[in-house]
Amino acid sequence: MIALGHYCIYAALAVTALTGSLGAAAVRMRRRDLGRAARNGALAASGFTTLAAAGLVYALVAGDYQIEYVWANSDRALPLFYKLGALWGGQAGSLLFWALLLSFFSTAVAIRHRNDPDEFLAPALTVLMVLQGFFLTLVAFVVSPFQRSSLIPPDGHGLNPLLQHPIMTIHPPTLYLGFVGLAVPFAFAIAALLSGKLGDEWIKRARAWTIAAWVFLTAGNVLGGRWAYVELGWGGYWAWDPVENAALMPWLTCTAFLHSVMIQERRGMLKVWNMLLIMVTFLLTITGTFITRSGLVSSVHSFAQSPIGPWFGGFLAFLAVGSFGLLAHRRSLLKSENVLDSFLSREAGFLLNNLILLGGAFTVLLGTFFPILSEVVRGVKVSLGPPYFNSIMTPIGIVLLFLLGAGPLIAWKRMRRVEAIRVIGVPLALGLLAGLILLLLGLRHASALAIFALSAFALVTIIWEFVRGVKARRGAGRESIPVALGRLLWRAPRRYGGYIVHVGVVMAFVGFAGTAFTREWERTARAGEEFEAGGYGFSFLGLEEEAGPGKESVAARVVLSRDGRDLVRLIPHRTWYEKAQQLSTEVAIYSTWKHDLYLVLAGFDPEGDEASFKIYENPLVGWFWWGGIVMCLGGILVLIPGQRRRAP
Amino acid sequence: MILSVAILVLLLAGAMAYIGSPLLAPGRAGRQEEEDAAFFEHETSLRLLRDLEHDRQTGKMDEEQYLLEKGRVEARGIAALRELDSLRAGATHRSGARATAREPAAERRER
Repeated sequence: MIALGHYCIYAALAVTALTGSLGAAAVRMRRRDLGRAARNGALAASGFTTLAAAGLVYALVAGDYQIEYVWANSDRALPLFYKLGALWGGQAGSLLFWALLLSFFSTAVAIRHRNDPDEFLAPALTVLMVLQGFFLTLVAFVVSPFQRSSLIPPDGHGLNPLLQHPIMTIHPPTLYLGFVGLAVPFAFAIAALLSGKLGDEWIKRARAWTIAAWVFLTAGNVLGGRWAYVELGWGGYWAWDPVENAALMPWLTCTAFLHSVMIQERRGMLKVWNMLLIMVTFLLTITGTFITRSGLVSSVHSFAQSPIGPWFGGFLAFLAVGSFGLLAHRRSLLKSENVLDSFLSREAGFLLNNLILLGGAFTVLLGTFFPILSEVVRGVKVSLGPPYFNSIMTPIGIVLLFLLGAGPLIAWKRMRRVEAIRVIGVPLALGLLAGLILLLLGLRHASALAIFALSAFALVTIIWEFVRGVKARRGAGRESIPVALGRLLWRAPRRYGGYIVHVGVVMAFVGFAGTAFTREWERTARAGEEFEAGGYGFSFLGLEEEAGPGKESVAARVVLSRDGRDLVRLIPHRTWYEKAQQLSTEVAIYSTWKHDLYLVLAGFDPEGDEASFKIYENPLVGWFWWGGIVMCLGGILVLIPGQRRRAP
Repeated sequence: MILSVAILVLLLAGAMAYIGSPLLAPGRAGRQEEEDAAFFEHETSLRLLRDLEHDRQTGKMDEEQYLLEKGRVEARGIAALRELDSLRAGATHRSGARATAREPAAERRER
């Protein structure tokens, strides 16, 4: 298996290099046959990469511990579910997984765009092959997943306990799909620059890939938050950890790109800006991997550190110099066809939205790299914690929320001030009314109040947009409301799917605002005792010890009640993993639409049957998870092609 | 070990044959790409027209602005259609000319 795995990686690398060369030759010589050969090459490279990955999965499942990676990331006791997840649980495997996903995307591009002009497909495939070649080079020569172990141990070391959670079998692949998916629009942008075809065609080709990648990034970020929430046991889901930030930055710039391309499509403006945005977005995904792997900044993901950081740094520099240099070279071909007619227009709103999203990404970037910057400048590593991020990102979020509400109401090109006040006035007044009611009900947190008021404003405008669309359809024909709504979504999924995404964003903001009201308590109790926190009763029944293969667990059985009525049995526990010599906390959560009650077993004395608990009340946290789901559903709706006309 | 190498060599040979197969039927990029570009431009115009119509129906655009924008987009779409027509007419003309050139030869064969 070791030899076959190595050979498959070498073969994949050779075929990838050949495919890249064929693509470059097809562009240079304008030969279709070379372009078609490059398409076939992408498929063949994918085949060899898949074989290599399949070999590693087989070794993990079969327990081939003479392979160092298999020994370090699995053991006999590990359930099959996690053995499969071990493919991306360690350094070398995750790099092979990157290469595998990239090869799948290259294959999908080669198949989906097989009838496209070669001037787009061939250079795009060449760019994808360069990226794939980099990852394959790493797994072939720097950190091989098929490295032979000096001994043949009888059992493996086991997977990191923190990764032994069902979400961890979904979160990394989802996030990787987002990161890797962004390589496709990047490749099309570079292809457009190389071919000099700098109209809207590259955007048309890149759009669906960008949205798909955005959906995966959204899902990946939300799943990552959920994992941190249920696994790390500190009561929250977002701590501005460098690796979390690394996934958030491309999400912010990708969101900006998805808005600004609409200006290019509609008005022929912001052509350089769009190129720049997609380049920055993709480079940020590589930056994210660089942060994770280099160990430059400390993170909860430090298990992924290795000496490949400099390789990523070098590759990042190569990509940045190459893509920005090419953009500068082609700048004269990217002139705007129009100018901004008025600051009271949809395009001005999008532009502002872009600047704010980019400002947010820059804030996060600065905060993430600040420890390095401070060390370089002052010789002291200073980390910026949540107060820095929250103090800047909260106002940014509030302005974004206002734009999210106002944007869809504003017309393209220009809008008269009176008209703008007329259309925005009523929803804004309703939003302010909602804020006023909350203020009268005793809500005193300024940022949360602003978020709730603007969320109401944004929701009213979105509902109003649907109402106007349905009314327009019913005015044109005699359709019932459900039929009109269905046809509205079917015929204009791009527009209305976007509004559904906005609903998800509003829900997520409501969830964020809830964190302002988090409360926590610490309680100690003996078995049979009861205690109270946050208006709930907790009846501690006792501790239960359980030993599994390679781990020992202590669980506390607690019955949650309210107003004398039993609600649910909560079982938080702590597990000690023998091989990893690591303690893991499993929390117990009681969720309602209003809040989560989050119970952590903080400590225990098994002899005295006494336990200490940390209890958090997290208001509105469920809105964040559901907001993420709605965002993804809206994004999927946007991907539907919509009404098509027959070709002339 | 030997079996592994043999399998991989076979797979590589198959891959090379698959990759190289298009080279046996060479062709140059040409008119099809220009047609694709014109068709894409026409498709974009249609979508923009639908967007404009929707903006007018939902009251986001007054009649005057709608007509102005509609005229601009229609002109863009018509130009794309003309380009498409001329490309296709050129292709028909060339294939017609080739047919005419072949005709005497066919007649000669009959004679």
